[in-house]
Amino acid sequence: MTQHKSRLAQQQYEFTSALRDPDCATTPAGVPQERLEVYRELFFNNVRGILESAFPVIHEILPSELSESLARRFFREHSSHTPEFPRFPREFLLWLEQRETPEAGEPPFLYQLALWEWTELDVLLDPVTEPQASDAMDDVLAQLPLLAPTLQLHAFDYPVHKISADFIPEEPLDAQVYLAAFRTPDEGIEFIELNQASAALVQIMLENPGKTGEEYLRALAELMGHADAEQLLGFGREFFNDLYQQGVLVGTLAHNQE
Amino acid sequence: MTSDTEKVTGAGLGLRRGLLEEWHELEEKQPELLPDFIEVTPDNWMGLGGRYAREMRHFTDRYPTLSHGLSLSLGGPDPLDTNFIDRLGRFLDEYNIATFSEHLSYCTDGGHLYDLLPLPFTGEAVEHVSSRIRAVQKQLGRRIAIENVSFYAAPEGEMSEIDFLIAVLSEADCDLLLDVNNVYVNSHNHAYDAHDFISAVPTERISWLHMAGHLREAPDLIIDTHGDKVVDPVWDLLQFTYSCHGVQPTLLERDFNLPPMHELIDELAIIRQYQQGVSSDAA
Repeated sequence: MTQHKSRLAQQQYEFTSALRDPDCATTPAGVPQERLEVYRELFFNNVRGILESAFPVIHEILPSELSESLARRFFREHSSHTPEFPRFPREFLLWLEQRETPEAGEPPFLYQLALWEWTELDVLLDPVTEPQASDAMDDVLAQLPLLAPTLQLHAFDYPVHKISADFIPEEPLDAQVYLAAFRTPDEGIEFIELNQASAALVQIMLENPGKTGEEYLRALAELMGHADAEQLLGFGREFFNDLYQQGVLVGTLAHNQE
Repeated sequence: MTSDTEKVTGAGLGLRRGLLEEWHELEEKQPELLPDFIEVTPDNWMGLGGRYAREMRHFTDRYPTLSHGLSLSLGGPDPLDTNFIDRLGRFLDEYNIATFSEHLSYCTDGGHLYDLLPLPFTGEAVEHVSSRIRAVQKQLGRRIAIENVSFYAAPEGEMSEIDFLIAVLSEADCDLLLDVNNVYVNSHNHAYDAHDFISAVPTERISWLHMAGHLREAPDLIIDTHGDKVVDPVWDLLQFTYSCHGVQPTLLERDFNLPPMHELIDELAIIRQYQQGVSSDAA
């Protein structure tokens, strides 16, 4: 979109470009160089500080020059459209996803690790309220099993939940790892590694809320190419009960057949 | 537009996540020391659930609450984010917060920069920011207050900071959140007389005052950090403000290096002491 910019807008873009890009040669009219540097430092340190506290593992494992150059590029290149401060870190994730070239020397799991670290924050902030579920799990196949309302499930090529300064994976896993995060009733956060079948069941439940336990199991049998759905139904109650014990399920809602 | 500003009184404290635990303790043990009112930053609490929603309800139910936004970019080059203003309005309604304030500044250039940028002090900027303040007031159905911000440099302008501020207050027909520390910081960084600035502010527009600590980075440069105790010259300037404009509700802001809660409570006690001093002088 090329439209005529007012003098005010010109002054503003000139100022912000000089902030976002420290190599930018123009110093805005009326602004002494040393005071421009004050602004550059304040703005960049603010962004960098927010990223550090939102992505502590990334901050811990990356050499500081690398995390600095990532933060600088992010601040220079990315237009963030999130006015709410607590959700600003998600913009870093979006930028990692959209940018065309990675930074030299960055680990191949950077995006996945950032996604996992953001998931923790996102789950804690989630505005959803806890449903009034019954804890009766005996008849789960005929009732509507309910997932923890804040639950998020992701599949990762790297064991992002184990990464630390002492453990930096170099190769992807042979098989993806399925990790769920959700808020507990006492407002803490729980992380759980799920096996492939449980992860598939949870994914089906996320995509199709409001079905009975039996319907979910039949969908799972179909997905997994199980010839014998009846056999799966036989294990079904135990299957759901394990998820309930882990907190992945919060209980059931009565199924009103009409 | 009618002003529904519910006048708070006394000494207030900005609600910060890092203070919650000690704040709850104080409520149990020494409720007589609690702030008279609080101020929340909607941008830090909107759309949150779990613990944060519960805390927001707890505090807004118990204290008269003012609000102080960060992200509206009142002077910005982009169209106003009307969707965000809708969410903001719902948040204020949900928690029964009558009064909203924002900064006489901008923070976007097609995307958010998450800090406050200096507007050039020009007639064009007065016009631009005033029309946007009017639009925000209309959409929120509230008269809002704007805060004089600290700045370290301003792009080429044609008037002084105080003339710019007065022109916007008049043109936008809005109220003022007078930040006393910012006046001090700016008067130091830009070599003007803080008393002249305070005296020139139109009394009838003042909604409330801000107090905060700052960092003396170099002899000619103070950074407005909200990370330290309020210093003596700023306390003096607060007393001067009361003597010019009468006692005004006054809020202490502390965002970084959060000290033990009792240190903030001690600063609130100083505010109250000055407020009572002025009241009894007047009596």
